[in-house]
Amino acid sequence: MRVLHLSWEYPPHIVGGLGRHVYHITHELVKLGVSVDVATIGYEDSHMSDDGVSVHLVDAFKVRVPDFSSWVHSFNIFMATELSHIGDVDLVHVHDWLTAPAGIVLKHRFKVPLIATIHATEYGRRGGLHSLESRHIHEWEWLLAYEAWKVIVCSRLMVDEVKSVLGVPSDKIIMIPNGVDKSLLNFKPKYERSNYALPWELLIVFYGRLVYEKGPDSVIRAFAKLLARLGNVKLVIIGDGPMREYLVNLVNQLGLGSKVYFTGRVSDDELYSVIYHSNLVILPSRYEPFGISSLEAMALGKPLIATNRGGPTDFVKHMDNGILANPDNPDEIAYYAEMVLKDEGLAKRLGERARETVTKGYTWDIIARKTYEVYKATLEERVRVNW
Amino acid sequence: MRIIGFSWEYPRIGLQLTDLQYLVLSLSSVLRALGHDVTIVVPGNANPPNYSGVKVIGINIPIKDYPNVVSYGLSSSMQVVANMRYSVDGKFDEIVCFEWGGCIMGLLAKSTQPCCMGSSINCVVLSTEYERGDPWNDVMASSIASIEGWIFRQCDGVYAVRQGTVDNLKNKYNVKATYVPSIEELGRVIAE
Repeated sequence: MRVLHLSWEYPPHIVGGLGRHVYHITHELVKLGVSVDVATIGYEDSHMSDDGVSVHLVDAFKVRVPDFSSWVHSFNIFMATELSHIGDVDLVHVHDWLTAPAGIVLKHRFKVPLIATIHATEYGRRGGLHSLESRHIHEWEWLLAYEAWKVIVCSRLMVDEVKSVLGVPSDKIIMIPNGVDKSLLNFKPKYERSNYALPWELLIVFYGRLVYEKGPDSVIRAFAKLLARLGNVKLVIIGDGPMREYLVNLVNQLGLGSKVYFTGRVSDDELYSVIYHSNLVILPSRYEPFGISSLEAMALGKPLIATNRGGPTDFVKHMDNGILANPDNPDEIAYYAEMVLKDEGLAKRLGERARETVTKGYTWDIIARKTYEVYKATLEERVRVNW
Repeated sequence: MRIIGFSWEYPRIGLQLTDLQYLVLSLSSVLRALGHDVTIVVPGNANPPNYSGVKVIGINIPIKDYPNVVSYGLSSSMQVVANMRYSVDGKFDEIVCFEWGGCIMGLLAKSTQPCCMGSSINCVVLSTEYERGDPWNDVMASSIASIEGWIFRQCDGVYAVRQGTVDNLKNKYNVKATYVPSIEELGRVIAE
């Protein structure tokens, strides 16, 4: 079985979680005996092998373009023309609308089924379709789902979203969650705790893009309430984004001063080291199609306060392997944070159960096996179809 | 010879004729008159009447909203080429493309469509963006000029019906174009 994955992100070019997802799933599929090609953007047309994954880099900067959507279409044209001759492909697997145009052309070129993983929708990301560009992207998402043999989504929230927003019929949708790298289960920190907090301080961590939908402002407001009750706490905010300046001002306005530390962007090693050393992780996203960050905290065995909306509600069971809280209610977040920080036994139990959850169902080898089953079933159906 | 053409537009009854529509209609009629089998592919649902024996195929493009003309040109080409194999029969000896939008479709078809693989690809240019707009100061014009330069360099032959356009193609895009003074001669040169 030979599968061609199309993704605009692939290491080392990573913008969000998509690149990591494609990297891990393709490498695990190779272990299952699947011949995997990945087409992604680069700075020149070239080809390389990455641990058995055949990677086709397509120069995405051959022409000047006025905006993002035009750039996306330009590199899709380069991708389709470059990959049209690779031949003998059994399936084309597209990740999000960004490579949908090339995926649809190649589907009809090879007459093979198209599998689409929709990681998030434009409607969900923007809370509606408020611009011409958003409507354009939304229509491409619709067309991708329409052309796809199967649509893979990562959570129940996304099942509902592709049904209601893109009109995808239920029998076309398959829910396969995201996963985490198994090595995270045995992670050893490479950075000292003393870099981030004093020995007697309880360390709370938030990480992710500093944007409204991730809820960093709620963490700061909850932390202010918590600090009034527990003096020995420290908040570390890891990540960067358009909301950073607002958040720094908020910290100053609330008089939190040296109790909140903004690290900016850090390496994966540093990120996981801080989580490893922390006493509590708070990730109260307002919109979260899946929540791979929550899963990473759980893999590291940390007590987690996650959002009670979207993806995390699929794998976080309240007061069993984590805590679910309303992201718009800092009082509720502070209440649970105090509960966990004051009760070491509870924190330990939540962390242990969280690791168990990850081990049993959310590592990439498990996710890849489920994807492989989708491939097999699709190819069996394809044989029976006169196309 | 079987010739397939790609264009953004083809004349429609009751609508004003544009320069591009006139060029596509007259060149395809000339090619037909020279005894060639001519098919023109355009985006859109409409399948116009069979003018002078020229077969015109409209390919539906499902995406309706575009932020700008560049996005439209690039995006609509992908939609046309994705589905054309179900509407076009047989194999073609030659591809004729009109302007940069038609060239994108033509190049995609040559690379991805069994009916066009191995065909030679020729482009007919009415004017360059340097004649229509201001690529030095306008972002959109600059982008179109950049796309024109790239796409015209991929073609086997580039033809223009104005000497000024030929000069621009050479000086601005480094593309060697042939000046052809009349549509009749253009038809003969392309079908040679």
